[in-house]
Amino acid sequence: MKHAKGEPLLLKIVLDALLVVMFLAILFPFIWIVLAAFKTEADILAWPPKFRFPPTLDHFRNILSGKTYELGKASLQSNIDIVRFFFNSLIVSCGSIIVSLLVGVPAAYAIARFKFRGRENIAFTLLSFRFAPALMVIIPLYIIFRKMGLNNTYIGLIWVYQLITLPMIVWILRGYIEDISPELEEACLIDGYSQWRTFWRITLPLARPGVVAAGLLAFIYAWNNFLFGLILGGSAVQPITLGALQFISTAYVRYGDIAATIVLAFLPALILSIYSQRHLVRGLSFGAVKA
Amino acid sequence: MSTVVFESVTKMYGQTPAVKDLSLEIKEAEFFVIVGPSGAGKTTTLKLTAGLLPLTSGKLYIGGRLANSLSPAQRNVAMTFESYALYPHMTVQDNIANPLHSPGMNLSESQIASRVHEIAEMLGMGQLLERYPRELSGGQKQRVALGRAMVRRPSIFLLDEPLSHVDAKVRQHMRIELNRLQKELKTTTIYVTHDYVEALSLGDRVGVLNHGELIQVGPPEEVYSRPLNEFVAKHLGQPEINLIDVIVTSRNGTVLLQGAKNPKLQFVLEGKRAQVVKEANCPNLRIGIRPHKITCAPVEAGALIGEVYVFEPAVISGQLMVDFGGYMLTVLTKASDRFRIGQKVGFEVSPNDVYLFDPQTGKNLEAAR
Repeated sequence: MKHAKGEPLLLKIVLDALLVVMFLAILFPFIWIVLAAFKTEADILAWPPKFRFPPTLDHFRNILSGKTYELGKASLQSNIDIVRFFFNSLIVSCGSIIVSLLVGVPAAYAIARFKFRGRENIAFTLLSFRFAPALMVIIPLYIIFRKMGLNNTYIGLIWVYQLITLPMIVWILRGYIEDISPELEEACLIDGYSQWRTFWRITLPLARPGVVAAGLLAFIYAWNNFLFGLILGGSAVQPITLGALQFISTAYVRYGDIAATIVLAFLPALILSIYSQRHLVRGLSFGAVKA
Repeated sequence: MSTVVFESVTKMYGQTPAVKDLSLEIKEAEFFVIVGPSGAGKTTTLKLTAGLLPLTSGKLYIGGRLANSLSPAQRNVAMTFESYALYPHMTVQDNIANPLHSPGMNLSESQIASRVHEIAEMLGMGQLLERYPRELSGGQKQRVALGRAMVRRPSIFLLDEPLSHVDAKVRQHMRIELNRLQKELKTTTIYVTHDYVEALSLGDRVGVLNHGELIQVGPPEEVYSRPLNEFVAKHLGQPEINLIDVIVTSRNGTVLLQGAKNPKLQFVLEGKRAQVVKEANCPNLRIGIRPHKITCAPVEAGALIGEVYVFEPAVISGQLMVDFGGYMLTVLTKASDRFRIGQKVGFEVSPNDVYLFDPQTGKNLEAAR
């Protein structure tokens, strides 16, 4: 049998095996959580771990109703409203994306098209938000938020989420817009349009795939964020990533409910990723390959 | 009304000048061609006229009005781009209609539709209106770009290398069409090209640009037959002009030019031309001979004898490269002539067909007043 590009068979096998190992390592926690979400509390804690068990929807019922929880024979009241956490996530993530797009699209356009003093510095500063650890700024941010009364508000979280979403949108879109020939805009200017109208008529429609990709990607990152909500948000505005935490208390740890919450939490991100895979790959490579 | 006047226009990109001190007056309804090699500043000149680039210094008048600070929309010029710059997300119809939808136009939808159809008919692309640019051939794209420029009836057309990316057959056809359209519409046109055939066949006047400097302006036949310098002579004409370094010797009233590498190559100049060479007082000259001004002669009769280096037969005229004692000369031959490599061949050149260039400055001695 012939192999593509004449790779030795052994090398191919080793490479494939490594891929499988990596794949399993990445996928294992994911599978484990999904399984746990459908296990009874006893099955979750069983040793050796069970891979075959009678599935139950109790945990989903528990977290969605937010009322009762069966622990052995005792029935405990719970006022943990996961639906509300879910909506918090939705409000904060969508809000962040809307703000980021409103600010980021013009910013990306300016950085891509106009030469001005400090252009690269501004672009780099934005990017640096992505690689500076959030822990570095979280304490000062906490103090600032306290003083300004922004902690435990949607506005506060949406604001601080700009650290995640804005750099991503600006950098992906910058690459996208740089790929659009400036001559198209010049042609439209000559056709009798102002710079502003040209942007709406030519640039934005052509950059739309990039806007979609950047928006989706930023949404997923915003949705998955944990730290900002933990420190700067109260239970009224915290996202669902923190909702799972509510099932850990001094009295007990409700593993099944945690697992079910996590499954609910990653569903939107998962559905979005699968649905928009094509866009995302393009968006990512546009942002990544361009310097 | 639709004149364009450049007054000492300079455009700098950082420290590099793209257009240097350009002064030029383009007349009403004129078809003006700017020709030059790539990087000469041709496109920059167009973009300055269109208002896409600001002038570094100088003044630009369009239709008698100072246009330095007018936006592209205020100039009422139309431009086509070398890349066509068709909007990929719009159909042909919407591309052509785009200028008509602009805020300054104030046309009703039915007026716009009839103008678009009129243009589409004129350019023979009525059946293409629903297509997107990616579904068009190069020639069709070019038509759409022209249509988009024409539809708003601008006072000036700026055409940037409109024919450089279409294939040879379409190019020939489009060149003729363009010529006719311009004469019909009587719209002042600035046409940029690197192709001298286009320049000479289309232009009412031709301007030769090199390194941002306008070297010569004039009617095509004048620029071709009386080039101001070596660059113009070299750039206009295919195959390229033959340039030979010669040594000057004065004898009474005449001047003898002898090939520096091969003294058998000689020309004798008399009368006024001899006088010009004497006045220039150069010990050396560079002479230029157009390939079609060299005629082949039988070896016995030919004053000059060389050896065939290579021969390319063609239907209308053959192209011969002759090694003449160290000089490689290009000669256009009759269609019926045939040559073998290494064959001895005689040829003749009339001294009247020889251009005289100063080897230092490249200036044509006879053109410098």
